[in-house]
Amino acid sequence: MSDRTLALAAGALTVLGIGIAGYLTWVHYAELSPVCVGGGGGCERVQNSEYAELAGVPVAVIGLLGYLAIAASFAIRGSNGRLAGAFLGLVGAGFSAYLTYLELFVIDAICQWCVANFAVITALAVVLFVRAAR
Amino acid sequence: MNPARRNQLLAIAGFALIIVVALIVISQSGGDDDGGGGSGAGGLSLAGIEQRGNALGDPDAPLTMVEFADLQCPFCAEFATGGALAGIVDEYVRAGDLRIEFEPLTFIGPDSVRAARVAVAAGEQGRLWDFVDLFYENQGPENSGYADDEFITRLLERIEGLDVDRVLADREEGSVTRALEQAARRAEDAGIDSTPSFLLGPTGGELEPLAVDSLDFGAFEGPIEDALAAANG
Repeated sequence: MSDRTLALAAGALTVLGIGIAGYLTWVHYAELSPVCVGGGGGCERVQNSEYAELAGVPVAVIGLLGYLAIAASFAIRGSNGRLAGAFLGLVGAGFSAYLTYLELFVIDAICQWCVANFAVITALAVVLFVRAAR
Repeated sequence: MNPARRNQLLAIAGFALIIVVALIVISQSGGDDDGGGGSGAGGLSLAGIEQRGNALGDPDAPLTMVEFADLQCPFCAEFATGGALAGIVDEYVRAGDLRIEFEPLTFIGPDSVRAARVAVAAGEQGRLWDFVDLFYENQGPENSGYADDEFITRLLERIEGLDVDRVLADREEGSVTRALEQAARRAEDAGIDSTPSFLLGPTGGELEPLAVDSLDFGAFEGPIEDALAAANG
């Protein structure tokens, strides 16, 4: 796979991630319930849980800032930018994995948006890590 | 891949792991800062028992019981203050075998709504169960308007470590409204049509309706023991 393909994939996944995290940030501050396919209160339950904030900051905001930081790393030329992107991707994927664990085994509810975010950040971390390894 | 690049990648992977672990520690300690066990200002001994949101007990307890209750409901008060809940808490919650979630329903009237909003807001500081216990101990005549700000504030002020002003402000938040809507939906999904009603099962697993023929501790003891034996394999 060419570097250009990897860069395009990373860009597309970052835009997707910013969309998801941006939407969840918006519904948080607008005090709305996220639209969930097939209904169900999973998203609300997750959003209202005590784990929806980290040190008082909504995790959606943290996710949005993370994606924006990854986007900013694309502007850094050379290996430093790639290493920074890979680092941010790994942190995002790791923390998202923890939040998914909480949904499954602690909160006992699944938010489709969070699962989608987990898939996006995991794929993004892989792409960014492969780019950095080249 | 040259060794220098490999070392750089290993270093960022290791550093990323450290950051993730730190984030998890912050996340886990966040609830404890707000909760970590109420004072038990009412008749229920809650000291040293973890509270998070609407949940009482160890999050990793093998069993979860959900209580659907209206704060104005006299039978709910009987369950809460008549010894059954105290027995369950002392025997199973304190031992780490059971966690209990309180889902406030508000079908009786406006006093139920006012009380439930405060309970959820107190839960945001890890003190829902303290408030619920005090409320049931001081429960007044249904829909008499007794659950006004003066009454509510008096109860809240008895709860050690609670930011009363914050509770009174938070009770109007949309998050509280959503929690009540969610409780109502959960009750509807479970086919709950009276209070108190209970669900019981393995934590994180399928919870089943718990039908009891009385609100005495003995009526809960058998089903909890059976569920515990099943959960522990």
